[in-house]
Amino acid sequence: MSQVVVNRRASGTLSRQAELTLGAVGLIGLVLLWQVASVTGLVSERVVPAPTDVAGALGRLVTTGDFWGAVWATVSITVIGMVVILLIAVPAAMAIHASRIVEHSTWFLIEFLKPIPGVALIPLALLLWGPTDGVKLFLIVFGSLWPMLTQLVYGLREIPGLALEMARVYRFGFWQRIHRITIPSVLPFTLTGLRISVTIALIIAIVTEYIVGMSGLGSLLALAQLNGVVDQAFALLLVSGLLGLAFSGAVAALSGPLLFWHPSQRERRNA
Amino acid sequence: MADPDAAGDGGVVTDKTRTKADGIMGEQHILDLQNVGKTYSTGAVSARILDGVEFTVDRGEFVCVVGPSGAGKTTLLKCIAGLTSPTTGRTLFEGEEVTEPPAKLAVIFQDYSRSLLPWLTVAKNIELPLQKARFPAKERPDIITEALSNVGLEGKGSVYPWEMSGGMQQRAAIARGLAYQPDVLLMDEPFAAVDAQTRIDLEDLVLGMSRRLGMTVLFVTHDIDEAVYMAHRVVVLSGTPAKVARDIPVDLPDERDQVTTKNLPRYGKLRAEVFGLIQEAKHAVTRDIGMVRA
Repeated sequence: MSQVVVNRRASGTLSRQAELTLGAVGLIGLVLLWQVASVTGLVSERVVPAPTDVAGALGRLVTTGDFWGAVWATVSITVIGMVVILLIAVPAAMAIHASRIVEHSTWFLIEFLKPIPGVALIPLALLLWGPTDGVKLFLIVFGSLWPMLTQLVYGLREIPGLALEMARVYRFGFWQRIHRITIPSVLPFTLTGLRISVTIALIIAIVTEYIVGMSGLGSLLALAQLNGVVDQAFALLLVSGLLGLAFSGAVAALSGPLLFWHPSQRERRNA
Repeated sequence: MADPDAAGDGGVVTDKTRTKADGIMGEQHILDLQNVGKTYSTGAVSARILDGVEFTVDRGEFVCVVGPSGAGKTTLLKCIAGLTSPTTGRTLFEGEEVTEPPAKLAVIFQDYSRSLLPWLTVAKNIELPLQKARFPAKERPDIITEALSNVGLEGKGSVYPWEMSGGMQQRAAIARGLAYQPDVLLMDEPFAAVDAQTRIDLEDLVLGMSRRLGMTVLFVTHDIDEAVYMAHRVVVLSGTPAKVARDIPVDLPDERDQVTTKNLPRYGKLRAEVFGLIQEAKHAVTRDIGMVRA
């Protein structure tokens, strides 16, 4: 789902309207194809239920309190995770940027920790702390901190030297420099980091719930699978995808007003 | 911050005539470069950029510094602006040694697209350096309006820099410098990134402005025509490391005009003199490299 967003960014010549229309055409085409395949028996109903069945299951789900409780559990832990990530990444990035010693002493550690998949730590975390929301939070933070941190460090490095010289010549105060130069310069990188991190955070939340069985979309999915309710499992899958789209869409929606001055946004408006 | 020696020196200059100085008698130079040298070192490699650069600028003067590309003009400007400190010697601003950017000094950079902040309107960009102490909040709108009209950007305050052409952006950067009400305006190849026609317009704009407001301008450029056309004096830098090859007074009428001034025989002579010095400097560089290789 997030791939759609990425591809849309890459095509510079299409207008927003055309992009949306083409995206909708692709989606509707896929659903139609799926329906035809189900009705004609090309794929077995027991493996892949028809879109109409999935829609029916989704309709039944949204009337239950369990479903909304699960959505809330997954969404809230993801959002809390992102807040914790920001609280860690901002000071960490500033320390790495400010000091050569911190940069060199953490470089290896970060490069070592980065590729460890957050979900690989589930057994260890469970062993240490048991199945609690704290563990879910820890796994989310551990798994999706790195893109945010890396983007912030890049962002601080990319502040134009000339803007800083200008600030020195005109004797800007410390807060003036932070408020007027550092924060706006780093903002595009922060939003990129946020978009990548939030998608990973959601994945880790759902997988943890799925494996451990604590409340959330993941555990509902595991339950549906266990009971062989395939159409409900597909409906939950769909909801997870929509949730991911909603998160990265929310970040993208922030970019328009926050980065109105940025060349990428200026191009978008002109297209 | 202020060096006691520098202050004492300044006092002496005001009282007596300075033997070395060729400026106005009894008046302190607004800029005074004393034996300025700069060496950049990274690890074992070190590069000497400037060596014993000496010249002065008096109040109300328009001085151009010319030199071939890579001659250390920008480094020199950074030493004067307090953005970097010289390895040897010192620069005095109004009699005080420069250790950080002086409050009454503004710099116009070549790259206006980076020196203007794109997330702020032109008016906000101009207002940002106007600190509380020197510029009370209620005076600022008038200061900004005046600065904008001085550079021919009336009514453009609410526009973002990227909504304007390159020439207009550089005008906005100049307006920011003007609003700051500096005693000295440093300009670092300010017109190198604009097209030829805009360049001519901006030359005349800065020239008219500086004469009208009696501003002191130190203008760094690699363009010989531009230097001779605009300056009261041209300081030619040459060699590696760079030093002052010659300090040439431009004895042209104070009123300059793109056509009449550039048609004066004297203009041609001065231009040829500067050109010759720079060519000589280039050959000297080539000779040096040749000697090293041999």
